[in-house]
Amino acid sequence: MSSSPQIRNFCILAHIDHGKSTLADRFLELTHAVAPRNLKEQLLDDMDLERERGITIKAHPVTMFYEHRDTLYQLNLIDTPGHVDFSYEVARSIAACEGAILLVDATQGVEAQTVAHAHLAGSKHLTIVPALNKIDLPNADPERTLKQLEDILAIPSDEVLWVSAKTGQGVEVLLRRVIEKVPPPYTEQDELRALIFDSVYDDFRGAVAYVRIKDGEVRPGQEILLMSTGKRYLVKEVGRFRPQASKADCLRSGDVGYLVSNIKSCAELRIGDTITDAARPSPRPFPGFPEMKPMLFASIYPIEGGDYERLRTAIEKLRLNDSALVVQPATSTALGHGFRCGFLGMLHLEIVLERLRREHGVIIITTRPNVVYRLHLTSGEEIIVDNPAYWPEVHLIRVVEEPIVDFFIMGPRTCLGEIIKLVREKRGRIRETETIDPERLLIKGTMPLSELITDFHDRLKSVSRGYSSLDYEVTGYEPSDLVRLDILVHGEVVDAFASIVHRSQAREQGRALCRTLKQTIPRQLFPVAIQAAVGRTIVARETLPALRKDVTAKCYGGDITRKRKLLERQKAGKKRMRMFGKVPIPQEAFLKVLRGDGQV
Amino acid sequence: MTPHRGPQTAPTALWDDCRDAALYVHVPFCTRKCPYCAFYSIPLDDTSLCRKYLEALDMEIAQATRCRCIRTVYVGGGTPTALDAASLELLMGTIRGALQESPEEWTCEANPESLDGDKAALLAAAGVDRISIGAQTFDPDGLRTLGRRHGAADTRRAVEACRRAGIENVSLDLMYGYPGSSLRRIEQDIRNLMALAPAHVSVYALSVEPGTPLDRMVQRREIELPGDESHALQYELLRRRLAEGGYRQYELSNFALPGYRCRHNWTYWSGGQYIGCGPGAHSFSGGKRWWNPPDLVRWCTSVLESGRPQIEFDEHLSSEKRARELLVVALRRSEGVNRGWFRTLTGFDYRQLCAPVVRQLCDLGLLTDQGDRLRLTEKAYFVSDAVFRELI
Repeated sequence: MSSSPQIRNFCILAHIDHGKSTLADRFLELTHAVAPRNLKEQLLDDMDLERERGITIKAHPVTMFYEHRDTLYQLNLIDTPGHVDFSYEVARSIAACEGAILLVDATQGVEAQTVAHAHLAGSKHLTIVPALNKIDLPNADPERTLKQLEDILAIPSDEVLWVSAKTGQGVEVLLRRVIEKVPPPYTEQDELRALIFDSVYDDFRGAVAYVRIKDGEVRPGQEILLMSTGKRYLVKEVGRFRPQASKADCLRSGDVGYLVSNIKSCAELRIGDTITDAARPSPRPFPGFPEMKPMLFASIYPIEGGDYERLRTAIEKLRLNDSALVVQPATSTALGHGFRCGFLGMLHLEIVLERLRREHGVIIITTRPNVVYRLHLTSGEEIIVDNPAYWPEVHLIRVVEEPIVDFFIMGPRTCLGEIIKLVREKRGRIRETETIDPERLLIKGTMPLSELITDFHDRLKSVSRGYSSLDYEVTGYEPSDLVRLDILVHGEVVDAFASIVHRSQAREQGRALCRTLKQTIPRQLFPVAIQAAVGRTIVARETLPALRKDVTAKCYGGDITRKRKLLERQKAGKKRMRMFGKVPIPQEAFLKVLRGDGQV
Repeated sequence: MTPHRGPQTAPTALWDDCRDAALYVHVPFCTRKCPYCAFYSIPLDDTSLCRKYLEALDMEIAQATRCRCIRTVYVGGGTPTALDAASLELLMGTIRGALQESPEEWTCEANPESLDGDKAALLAAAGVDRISIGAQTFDPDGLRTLGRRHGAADTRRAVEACRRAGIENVSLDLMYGYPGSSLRRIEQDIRNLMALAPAHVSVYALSVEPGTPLDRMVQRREIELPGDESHALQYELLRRRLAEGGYRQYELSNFALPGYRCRHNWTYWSGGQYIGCGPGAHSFSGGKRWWNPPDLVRWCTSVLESGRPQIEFDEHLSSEKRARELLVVALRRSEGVNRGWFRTLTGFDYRQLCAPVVRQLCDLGLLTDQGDRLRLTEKAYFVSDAVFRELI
């Protein structure tokens, strides 16, 4: 039953840097959704960080109106993030749409996320409108890209449109194709069902839900019910994105817009939940999407113990807007009070840290991130461990399981050897390779998530000189011989450096960590042992020799003030380092370990 | 004059109302600036500037020594002996004229190439009884690296000149840890030095001061400094060889035959009062520290206008800060710090002032606390700043 024949809900699926945001900008211009004077590059990326890094972090819906064959259409575009870390956001956008533009950079060809997104959209029965972008560039190779689309995704070449989002060439044809090909939304029932696909926190309005109305309608004053919690709220305001929030009387089946109620925080507003009418509830929720689960955990501590409150406020603020960020209080013997946070991936973690520093000015230390392990104990109990600190004693563990991903890599054929080597080193297995064209291969396999998140992506890019792309999906858990690697500095365990590693890599990783710390910890008045241990066994050791020279040769009348001030300054600098037993460890050491510098 | 011999006791000097003081006179001229030097000096090419300097210095010294009993005099620089004989004589006359009585020690710094028999004689005649010669090294390559204009022969001639003028108390500066320095070269330097039998030896590691030409060369990686380990080994070797030659180490960088410690410098390390005259010179008196503008023209102008220099900087330390500073400076002396002496001068007991650090440093074998005396262990000499950082 089609409820709204003049509405089209669609998203743009593209590998990172394939020109998605630029295309969205052209659509906005074309539909006069923004006055030309308000145009700035990548309009929908409104976080500073998004514009700076050229990535879209949050979903940005926008409603446009466009006349085609004497009919005025309402086009709801949901801009999605392109980075692999944010693939769950793509899934959310897809659930809110009936169609998707699959945008491929003609200079780059089909990439890993192109394939991943196309498969995801296909499995949700979205109509795909394929298009080549950047055809104005001299190094564009449309023929090759078309062949890839046909070979890998079975998309016939004659269906693919050619556009240049930069110059605007072909953009209007593409928009019309969306109207013609993407089916209008349909409704199944009269009772209200609104899918929450994102949320933001607004200082004045509280938690704002981004919704796709599947069935029924919603208006201010109405009492609503969140189907997962059963809690009731009163609607204060509804509206559309044009692209700024603009109030509306009512949102109807097929609409994409926002909803303001007396919901205080984004934590109450679970993404993927269904909103229904409290008086006339829907019998069933809309099948949303699996709840986002944090993939990796790391602890964040303030450098200065006194900054704890500031850090807490900052994290709470971030959480209002980032429901994917999971936070619990944490205490480390080494670092004091802080927070254990769950992230969706490394990029998410980096962004959170960057925002804490930049927007909130908190100076922090972060521990090495780790994935979530499943442990079967000898007692028969099964536990989940997301923090090496809670890793049980070796004799209590029967089996350890770690999350495994299915990955696929698009890479140059000439680099296959290097890629295989890298995958093996990362404890991965290659299942199959597929030829895409004479130059490129699609490589499929599995690998532990923990190996993939550390530096796999960067190293993959470096072994293939930038010509590889990666996508992955967590598929389950597999048993693995994992142990906790402790780091001891001068006999004291520094819990913040502990990590979970595969037994076969413990020695090498331990060595690398000890070496990194040896280079970063300043020499002391005594030799300092830096050791790596599994249980009670020392697997690696470095000795930081005692300080050899720290002396002012000349000290006469003229120098005494200068000398005293220098010593006082140096003493103050030392106080700012965290003391672990008798040894101060500079922040740089934590940053190096977090970045995995010198890791094998 | 004969040098002072016999047992020396630490001067009790931190009495703020004490009239005893050491006088330092800064001569800001050099024939040429050494590439590692960060002290204030200017080339000696303007004779009228030199005349003005001497005129202003006369006024400043007369004013500064009034009501004070000058125990020791130290004329440093720059290069005092870079002045021509007439100017040097005038300078010494100026100082002599301001002193009520003969000081216990009067040192003048000299460069080997600018100290001839005439200058040595006029210095001796004015009352100078100790000459400190910047030998640095006897190695021709080493001298070239350090940008020095003299040769080993000049050093020998200069020492001879002092002796002929009747000045027995000669000190030589030796440098180590400069680019190209080695244990072998130090052995040779020591042999050369012993042959000259100076009464006193100062050894300095070359320190790269920010902003000097040497600093820029290091930054640009044109030259490479020996590492910490070879610095330490060179220092150890110097200490060993000097001890074998009968020199006693009485401060981190200073060695002397018995009875030849430098009394003037001892004052600095013992919290004594000192008055500095000349551009950039530092003073410490009445619990206050201050210094003159490190600029010849500015210093001259203000002295000639008002009889005293405009103060560039001054500070009055709190009693605790002063005590900590004294502890750190006095620990440079091999004999360390006497507990009663320290308590009398500062009102603090160092054990309480620096608890629990004193205990910890003793446990690490870097300090020894013998009940009435705290001192650095020999092992701590070359990492003394790390110890001082804990105490300051």
